[in-house]
Amino acid sequence: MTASGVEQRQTDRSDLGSAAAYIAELRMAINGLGLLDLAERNLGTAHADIEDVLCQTRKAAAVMLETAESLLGSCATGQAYKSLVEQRMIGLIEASGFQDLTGQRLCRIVHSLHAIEERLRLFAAHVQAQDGELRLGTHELARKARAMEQMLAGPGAPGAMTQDGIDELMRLAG
Amino acid sequence: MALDTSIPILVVDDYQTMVRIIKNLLKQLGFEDVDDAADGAAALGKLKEKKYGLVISDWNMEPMSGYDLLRHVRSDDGLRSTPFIMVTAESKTENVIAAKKAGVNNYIVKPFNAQTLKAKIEAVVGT
Repeated sequence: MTASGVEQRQTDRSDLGSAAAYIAELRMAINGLGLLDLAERNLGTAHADIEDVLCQTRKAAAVMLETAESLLGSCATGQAYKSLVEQRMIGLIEASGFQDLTGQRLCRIVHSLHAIEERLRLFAAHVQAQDGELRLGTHELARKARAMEQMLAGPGAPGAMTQDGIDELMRLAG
Repeated sequence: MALDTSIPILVVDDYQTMVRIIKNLLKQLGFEDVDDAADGAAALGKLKEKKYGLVISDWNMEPMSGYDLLRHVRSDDGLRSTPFIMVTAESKTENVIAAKKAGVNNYIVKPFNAQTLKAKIEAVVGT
């Protein structure tokens, strides 16, 4: 082997060594994300927590509406009406308890999101990540396209107006 | 301002609790003839079957949004004069302008109170 051949071989070996070290480092960073832990303990319970919050808030709203409807539609007067109001108010007080459990569940979801965010930030810093072109799934693409086409931003989005602002805009628009 | 509480009203919202809230508020205002639909497509079906004096619709619904419902109503010769109030959480300037351009009569942002609903209905169908 010539001198230059030996030199080239040493360079290749060095490059391969660097690549292997980078891959090992990357593997450590990926393992550090704790993907299985995120999927099972954070995201897994978040689904169940959110579903329960939806269910509990829906039930509480139903109790409140039933209470209002029964009182507004009642023909009772005097003592009978007072008893009905008292009985229904107890129901409202009981229904208010939903906030305790839903609050705890929402706190857990918030903690999970913080944990995911922190791990992703650490990972991104570790591998010196830079955002390239986003690769979105068909569901997310369709959702984004519909949101754009139908101007769906949801409550309290940036640029949101108050009722007074909307009234003024409607007036100006004639 | 006087309100003709005999007019039939169609409430369009995919969230049953909101339908119930609006129907209760309308009942308190004296409106008895109130129907509901869960999205724009269902609402169009009802609008073709019965003459409504007012449509109160959410914006964000699937498959047909309230915005598309409004545009359908305004492009239909038989429906175009139906008063239409949008009741929605979508409160960006461009939404309000787009709805106004599409022919909405009034625009209420959620969460709203009974007084706001009453005032907007009076402004649209009051005599």
